[in-house]
Amino acid sequence: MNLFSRALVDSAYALESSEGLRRSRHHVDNLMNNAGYRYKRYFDLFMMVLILSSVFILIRDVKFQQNDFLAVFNNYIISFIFLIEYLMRFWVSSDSARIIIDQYEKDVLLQRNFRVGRAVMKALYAKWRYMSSLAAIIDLLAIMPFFHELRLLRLFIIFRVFKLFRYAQNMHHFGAILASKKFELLTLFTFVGLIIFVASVMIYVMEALNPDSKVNTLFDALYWSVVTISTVGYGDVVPVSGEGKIVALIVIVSGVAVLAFATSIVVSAFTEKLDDIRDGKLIQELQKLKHIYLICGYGTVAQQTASKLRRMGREVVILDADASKIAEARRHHDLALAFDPASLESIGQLGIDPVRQIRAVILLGDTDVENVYTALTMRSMNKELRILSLLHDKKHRRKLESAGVNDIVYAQELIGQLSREYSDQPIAFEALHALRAEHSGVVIDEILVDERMARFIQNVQDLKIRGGRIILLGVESRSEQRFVFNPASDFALGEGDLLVVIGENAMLHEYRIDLHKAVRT
Amino acid sequence: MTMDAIILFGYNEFAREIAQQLRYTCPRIVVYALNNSDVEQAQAAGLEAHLADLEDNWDDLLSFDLAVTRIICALESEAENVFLTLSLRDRFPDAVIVALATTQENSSKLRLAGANKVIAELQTTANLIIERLEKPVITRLLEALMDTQMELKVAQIVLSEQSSAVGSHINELLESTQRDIIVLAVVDQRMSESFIFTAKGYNHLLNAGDVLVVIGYDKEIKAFEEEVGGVCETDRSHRSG
Repeated sequence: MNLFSRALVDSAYALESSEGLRRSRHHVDNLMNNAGYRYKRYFDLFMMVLILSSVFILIRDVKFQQNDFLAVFNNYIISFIFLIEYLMRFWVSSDSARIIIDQYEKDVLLQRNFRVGRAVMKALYAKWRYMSSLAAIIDLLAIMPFFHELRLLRLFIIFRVFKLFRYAQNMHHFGAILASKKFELLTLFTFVGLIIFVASVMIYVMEALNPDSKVNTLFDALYWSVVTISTVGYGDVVPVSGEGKIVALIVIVSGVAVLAFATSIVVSAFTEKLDDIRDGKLIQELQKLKHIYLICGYGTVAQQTASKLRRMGREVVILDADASKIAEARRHHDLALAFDPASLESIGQLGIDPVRQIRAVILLGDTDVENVYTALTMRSMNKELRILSLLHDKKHRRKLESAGVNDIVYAQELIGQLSREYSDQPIAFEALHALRAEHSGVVIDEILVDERMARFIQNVQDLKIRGGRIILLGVESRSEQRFVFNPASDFALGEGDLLVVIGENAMLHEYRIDLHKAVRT
Repeated sequence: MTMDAIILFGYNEFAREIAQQLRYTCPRIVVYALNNSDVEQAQAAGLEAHLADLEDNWDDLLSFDLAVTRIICALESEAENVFLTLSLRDRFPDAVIVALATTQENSSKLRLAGANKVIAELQTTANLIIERLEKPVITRLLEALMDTQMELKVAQIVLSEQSSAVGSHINELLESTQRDIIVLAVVDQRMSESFIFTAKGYNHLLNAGDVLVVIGYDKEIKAFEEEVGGVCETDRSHRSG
């Protein structure tokens, strides 16, 4: 291997192994291309503001004396930012170091000389493919005024508007929808082109020699054809001969047919893609949420649970592989997606970060088999996830536990317990359930003794709860790992202890505030 | 207070679980099922079971002392459950009827039909799921409180005519007692049939017949009961719904 080849491979390995460079590249790539990246929306917004400012300056410039600051801002600052953006996109468009290393390792494996020329060509080709893409060409044209002061080239600023395609997701969707109907649209354009061509030639033949006609050139004929077929019909150029009028009639009818055809293509494409677009938007929204309750499986219990959680101000996402159930779920909840919660690939498409985003997973599938399978998928995704599952048949309890479910709710057992409780002591039962239901105005709630509170509150007396209209039912002591009922005034409190209190909702709210104020002072 | 008998209508999964839960606290559980296979299953599970018909005039139930008997309607069909509740209420105006419902709509119908207590399956399950996730300590605690096997429990004490607490306010009662208990609520049956939580109605005047809902250890509750001269008994028909 010659010196150049060796230097090239060494540089490629050096670049590849640089942690800092890799991290920077990853961030830039996310910023440019990852719709789920949390900072991308701010970047996109910033770029859109620049584009619109640029166009505003251009329009203002037509009739008013150009302001020096605006000129510098438009020609240099904005253009410079666009140049930086272009270079960053160029950088992350392909990994040249990786391409060279791949070629080198492939050649070594096949025991042949490193084909440096091929490696460099592959790397350059990857960059060229990016540069020759429509988006990159628009980006380049948008930078042009930076290099030229010529007035004509300032019109290139208008290309910056096309850059909006990059930043507005809806435009992406629009492009994707039209692309999905490429064949139909191509057929339509061919048909329109043919009609315009035939109509132009015919009207020219019929009218060009007529002294009263305004169709004197082939361009006039083409102009008339386009205006007529589009059903605009300005009336500035009209056929005067009988033959010309017959051609006009044919073109008008064809125009209506073309419009109907075009409309049906676009409408059907939108209808077909509407669900995909909505899902895409929902996934984007989902990726921004934190502390989500992920409900897997939609049914009547799920509907009740999701509604109540949402009323409590919690974020709820519903997943079910059955599209018809999701359609039903969407009548009540916005964030419902037809994704299979038991499939890792499906969950992967959502791009949820289980550690940062999921508060708990609630398995409400129709069968225990479904819930066990989903539990295993969730558990394999993250070991720390909190998973609660509904149990349909009590003989399957063990299986759910083995699948890593933390909490199991068996409705039948619950109803049995409630019936027993009500039979034993109906008044006590009602009192406790009134506390749980929160409709009496008096609630039972938890207050965590956090690190700050623990520094100032040593025992129950420090809580200043006695004599008030708040009842301290007990303390879930972290150190003693048990619930201490009605603790005495000198009962020591520590960090992580949980106070269980009963009181009026508003009173408890005020008490929390007082407690934190007391800690601050 | 322990019931003498439980009359359970229906023998589905919910009814089985109810029977399972109640068989240790209630000496007699009688199942009335609408088909033979359910009757056989209930008998196989060691329960006293009879075949019933919705058109019955329920003469069978006259042999029970309905003051110490609970009727639980847990039929599979919601419509049948409503029909049954209506028939039973018509025949036995003072009986305490508990009915199971799946939907909220059905709960209202059962209440209209005369059920004293309706347990809405879906809503209850959803509530429990949320409680377990949002307030796990409280959920565990409340479940433990209702468990009669536990030392710490919730109890209801009816103030008798001779009770020393009659004529005093709740706050006076709380100040005077040295017992390690918490008085959670009072039910004043003369004024209304709703709860007066001590955290809210601190100055409520206590009368004979009022029911105190207290939380505490078994021993302390018994001592408090003697102190105030109340009885750990309840008027089961205190409220409906």
